[in-house]
Amino acid sequence: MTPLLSVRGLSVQYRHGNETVAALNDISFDLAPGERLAIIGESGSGKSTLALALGGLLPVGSTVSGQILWPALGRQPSNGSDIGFVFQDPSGSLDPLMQVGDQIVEVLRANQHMRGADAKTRALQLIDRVALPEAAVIAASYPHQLSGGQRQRVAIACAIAAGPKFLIADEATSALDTVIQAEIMRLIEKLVREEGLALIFITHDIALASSIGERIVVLHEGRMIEMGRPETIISHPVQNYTRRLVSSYIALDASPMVRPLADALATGAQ
Amino acid sequence: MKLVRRLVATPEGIAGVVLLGLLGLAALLAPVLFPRDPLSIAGPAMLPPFRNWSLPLGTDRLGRDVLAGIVHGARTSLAVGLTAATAALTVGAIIGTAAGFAGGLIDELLMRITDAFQTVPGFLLALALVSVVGPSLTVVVLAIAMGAWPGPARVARAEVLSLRERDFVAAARTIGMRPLEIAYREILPNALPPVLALSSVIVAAAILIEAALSFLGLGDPNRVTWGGMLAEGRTVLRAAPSLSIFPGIALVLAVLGVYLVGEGTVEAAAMKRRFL
Amino acid sequence: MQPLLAVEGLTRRFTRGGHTFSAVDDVSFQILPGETLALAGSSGSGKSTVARLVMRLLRPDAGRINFEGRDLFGLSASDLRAARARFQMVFQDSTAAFNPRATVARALDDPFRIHGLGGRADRPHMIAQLLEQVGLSPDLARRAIHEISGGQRQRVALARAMATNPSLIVLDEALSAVDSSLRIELLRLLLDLQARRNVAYLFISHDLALVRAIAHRVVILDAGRIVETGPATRVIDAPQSPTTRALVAAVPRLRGAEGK
Repeated sequence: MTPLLSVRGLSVQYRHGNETVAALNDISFDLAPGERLAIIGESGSGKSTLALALGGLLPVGSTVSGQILWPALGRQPSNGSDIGFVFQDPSGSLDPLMQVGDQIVEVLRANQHMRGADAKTRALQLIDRVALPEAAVIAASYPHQLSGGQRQRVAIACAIAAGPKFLIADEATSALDTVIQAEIMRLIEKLVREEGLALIFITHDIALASSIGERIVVLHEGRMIEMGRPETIISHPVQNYTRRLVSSYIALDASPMVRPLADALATGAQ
Repeated sequence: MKLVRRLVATPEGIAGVVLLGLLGLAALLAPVLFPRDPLSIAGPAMLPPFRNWSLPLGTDRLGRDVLAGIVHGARTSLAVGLTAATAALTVGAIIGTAAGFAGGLIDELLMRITDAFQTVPGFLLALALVSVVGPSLTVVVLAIAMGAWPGPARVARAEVLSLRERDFVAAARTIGMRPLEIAYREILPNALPPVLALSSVIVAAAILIEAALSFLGLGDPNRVTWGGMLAEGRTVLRAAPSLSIFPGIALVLAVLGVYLVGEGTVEAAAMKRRFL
Repeated sequence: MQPLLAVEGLTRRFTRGGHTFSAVDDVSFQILPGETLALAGSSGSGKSTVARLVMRLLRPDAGRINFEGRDLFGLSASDLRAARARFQMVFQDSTAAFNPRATVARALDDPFRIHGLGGRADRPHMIAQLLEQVGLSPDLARRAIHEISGGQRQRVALARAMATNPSLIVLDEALSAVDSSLRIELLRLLLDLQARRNVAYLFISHDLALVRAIAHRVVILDAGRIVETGPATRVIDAPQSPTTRALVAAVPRLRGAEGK
């Protein structure tokens, strides 16, 4: 099958004053249509740079080498109708001065040239699609009137509004608490499955990566150091860094790290 | 400083720094370049410019050296401009921070005082003060500052209102910092950038107000000022327009220089954000 | 044993958009010296408001807070300032918790200076020691706060909280903004400091996995009220209330780990 995305030897450098910082170094991977790829990396690993590079959103002054190919598309993708983005900060990706319904309509107008009543109806459908009850009330709300989880759902609605075949989620749940995070993860999984979207899910949390990704890519200091299925990577990590990532997971059934209080009182207290 | 380096990387910055630099240098070196009192008679009256190398810009009605006047006038204009702006920014920043941080009644009181000063046009305020107290450089500086401080005060207060809610202010409180220290050591320095952005406008306005006061004969009579030269030149405008044109050009260049530095700074600050 | 912190009937209301709601509603709990009590709940449960009330950044509408036997809200301004050396806080966002223009040295110097600990000449040495205790190199002192990494910054925040040797530290989602791979190191650091200095923690979090690892007891909050409380392992392994069950279910599981 022709891959949707083919990255070959991608390297990105930023110019910071007089210095050049290498954010990404020789990244290569393929993504099949409908495939879910999880990219795991700490801050500074280059994961956000990768998301920006795929969307052509790198800042002025960056040097890009290597190739980003879209074989199945046969052309350069356009953001919105081919690629949908979900970013970490739901407040940052929505216009604070616009009702959220209008923001979804804007996406529809820009990409599918939908107008007026059609666009409004579709916007309400999309709000339903992201499991927000009372779509009309939500559509008339401003971002600050919604909770973090609601805002992120709206951001997802904007991302899928123009019917892209590919979704990039960059730390989409990192700013949310665990309960909302679980809901948003379920929503993303459901949408991706039902619409047959390819997904790149970027996160620093190995548990999230393993639960949503069919394949995991481990990014460390700008380089891809390991790639494979979650089961393989987690049970048999090859690189030391990967091993460290896996062992940093805190399981609910592990023995607690804290010492019982009575002990502490007996030994440490003054 | 990195900001300065970035400033001179912008075209506005370079032009502004060069312009102001030349004027500043002229102002500093005035007593060296023109050791004689510029108000003294240097040659024949009404000498046209570009005739005599020792009097390149000619002389005025009384035979005073025009170029010496321009260079010495630069001292007055720049000194008044910078001092008045510094005073206005300092007073404005302190009052604005106090109002924003204290809130409540103190905020109300200070803002009504700010309103009062702001509703009177700066020039009229300066005019009134100088007429009452008398024309001297100090009074002129004070008069201009009195009209200019409300702007920085409001900007400072707005910044402080938003900074006040930030975590690092709460952290300062939890460490046990006293309110006064929090306001002036933690908050004010972070509130300054937009306040300082007003500086070029205030310096430019100050230079022009001083020139206008001097033009009306209310400037310091013991000093040469561009405004004073303009006033003198007005009476012989037909016969010797250069006597008005040269101080006019000097004023334009000074204000332009200040404006360009201001624009360049804004550009430089924006550039910083692009790379972070 | 007398509790270090005793919170009784704490209530705090807010008015937003015309209607009033209780962010914290009749919350009571105690912390013993050297103990870690976790306050867990999802966003909007009121846990951060409790943190700010305990730190006396907010005034309650009802209730009392007793710290080291004294009524926290009955203290005079100067008594409170002195008392603040005994209870400190680490915030969630380490970037926002510091003066944007500060260096590490200045941030750590502040608590020493304000509480008169050590003369001017001693303080650089004290700062170096403090940095080492949180696992950072003393060279970091010269750096600007915004230049260092997020994990390092949160360690500096912890160092700042420990500077005056407090008996209680409130950790308000202190690990939530740190990469998951770095959390376990920070947990170990916190436990190490607790063992050495017998400091109590009020550990506020929405992540029950972290709570279970570090806390002795846990209080579960929902919409400002306590819905469950007890030893951390017992509450989390056998949750009774629906809120707790939802929080437990929401912890991300590692798929593909052996034996799981």
